[in-house]
Amino acid sequence: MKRYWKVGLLSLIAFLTIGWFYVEKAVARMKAPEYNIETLSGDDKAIEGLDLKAGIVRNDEVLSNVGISKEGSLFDHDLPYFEQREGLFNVDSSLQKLYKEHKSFLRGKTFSPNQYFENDNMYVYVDKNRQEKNKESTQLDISVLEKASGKELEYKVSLPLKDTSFFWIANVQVVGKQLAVSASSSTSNSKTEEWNIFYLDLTKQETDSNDKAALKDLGIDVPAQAAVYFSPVTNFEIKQSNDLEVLEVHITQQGEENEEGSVTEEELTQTHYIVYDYGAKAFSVLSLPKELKERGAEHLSVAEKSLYLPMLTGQQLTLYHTVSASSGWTSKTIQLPKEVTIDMKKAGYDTTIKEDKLYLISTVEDQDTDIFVAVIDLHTDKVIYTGKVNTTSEKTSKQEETALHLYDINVE
Amino acid sequence: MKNYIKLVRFEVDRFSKIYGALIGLTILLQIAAVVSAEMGYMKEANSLMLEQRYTSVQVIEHLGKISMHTVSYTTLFVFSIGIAVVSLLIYCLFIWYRDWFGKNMFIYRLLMLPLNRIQLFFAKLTTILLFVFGLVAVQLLLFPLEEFLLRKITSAPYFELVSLETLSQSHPFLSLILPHSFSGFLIAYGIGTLAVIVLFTVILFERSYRWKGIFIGAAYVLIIAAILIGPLYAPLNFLFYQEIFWLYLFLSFLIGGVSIWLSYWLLQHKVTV
Repeated sequence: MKRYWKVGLLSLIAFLTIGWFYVEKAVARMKAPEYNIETLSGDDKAIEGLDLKAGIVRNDEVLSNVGISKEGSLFDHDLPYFEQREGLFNVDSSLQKLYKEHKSFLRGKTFSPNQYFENDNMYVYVDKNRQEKNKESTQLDISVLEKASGKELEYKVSLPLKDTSFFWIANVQVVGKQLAVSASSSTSNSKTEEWNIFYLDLTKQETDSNDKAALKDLGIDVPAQAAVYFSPVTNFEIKQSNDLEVLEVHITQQGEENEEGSVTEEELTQTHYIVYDYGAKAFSVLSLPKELKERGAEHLSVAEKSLYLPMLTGQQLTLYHTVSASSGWTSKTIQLPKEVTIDMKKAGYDTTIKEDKLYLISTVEDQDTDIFVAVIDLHTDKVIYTGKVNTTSEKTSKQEETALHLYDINVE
Repeated sequence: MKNYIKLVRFEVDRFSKIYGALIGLTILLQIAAVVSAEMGYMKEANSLMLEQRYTSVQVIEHLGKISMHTVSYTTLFVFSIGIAVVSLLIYCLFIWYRDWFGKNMFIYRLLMLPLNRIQLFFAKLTTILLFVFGLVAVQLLLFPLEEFLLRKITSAPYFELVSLETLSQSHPFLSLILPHSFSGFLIAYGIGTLAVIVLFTVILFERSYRWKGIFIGAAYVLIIAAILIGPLYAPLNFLFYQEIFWLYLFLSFLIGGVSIWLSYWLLQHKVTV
């Protein structure tokens, strides 16, 4: 038996050490800090359906993701193994439901929420046809799932876009009897993007019309050598049907070749905002309030036909509001509790608007700051709820400095 | 079973001295990595304090704190893991070929033993796995010792504690040898074991048919690669992760089973001395 000591020792050390490592991990996971939202004032009914998506971060690396709601916290590793691997934690709740109830509809489709639309009757998914090699047009594959019957319908529609090298679908929604697809595209011989809203007739499987963001017609001057890029400011949701869509337009000067033959970086020369009104089927230029010209439309939210721009100054929240791009902004100030605003000013904040409620939430919980939640009723302009994200882990005794970074606010 | 355990003991004993040296080298290199990382950090910190009049707080703001995270990215540390991995890869070949080459062809005695020859195959495979897991265990045991050493030699304000769990989650090498979850560990080492099984089969092809065997082995590897890569050419996102997992699990068992059966057949009927 003595002759076996090397094999025995090697096996024992390997088994015990690796076993200890994973058992300790499992135990640590069970002891993972719990998060909840502690009510400081108001009725916690105001945060019904609020789900804060945050990452536990250390040295700029996300260790795990957590969803925090009124009910407590749910970590990404709490999901069933295959759902974790599928990346369902960060997927829109409508898509999670779709995955559970109509998984076959999702086969071959991406989890990008901007390519889906949902209403009471159906789900719609739109994607660029990746097989077609036709340079004369760009083809879209459209799948419709009827909720009542579970029937899946497939359509193909050609768009009047030639030789596209880049095509990105930003939003899909049903407008009247048409399907509206908002998309950015560019051709292979140009870096400049164009933005179109395509109106599709699915019964005829053709494009009815398209509205192009023609910057020149909007009075935006684009120099000859400049490149144009669009990015949507509006936060698109699968269930949401917005009347307005806001785009940020970046005009950049292309890099110049220097004496050494290398090309200098593109330089951003102008930033504009444009709004597309689905009712009027027209683009218009959006001028920001002069106080926000420097900061841009970072926290802009769309609620039906209204645009809201909140700005935190001191203990006050100034809420700018307009109902159309041309009608000008009105503003009102809302007083917030001091303890809430201090951390919001220090660590930054994020906002979202849902059903006439503005959710204002600070974004970092670390040694110095907490995550505060404030809910404002847009009818009465009153703060109806304030709360604070609490954790069971002790901040001061932590050797490893981890922080909780908010990256998304979802309201069901 | 008794014969199999005897064979494993035998294989472990044969490599134990080199394996011991490999562990020793890993320990030395990693301790050197800790010391050199601390020296490099303090040199930079001192130069900032002397030349730029930085306070210790400003130094930390500028350089960050030193931790095992810093150490793990040093060339010495990465080299220590690399040398262990490469040594074991070479040993996968050596474990078979040393039986053929040498003063007395040891394979002659091995093949004459009154046992099922596939036990030779499994004994060698087990030995490789034991050595791999042994080195992983050494790394796990070394980490707290290295962290202790780093803490001792670094001035307190500059030191930061980083758990192995945190490090193994983000480090490109450590996350490979110590996957974040146990399921990841099973998948990573399952793939590794399958690769060793296939490599052993290729070696036995070569030992059975010599030059011709190299081509047969190469063709066998190409077929396996085609089987494994094939599903990746399915249309984008056509399969869900769960389906991909079960498909690859099935393919892995199929490839492993076929490889073991081929190795058994080659060992029983074709391998010659």
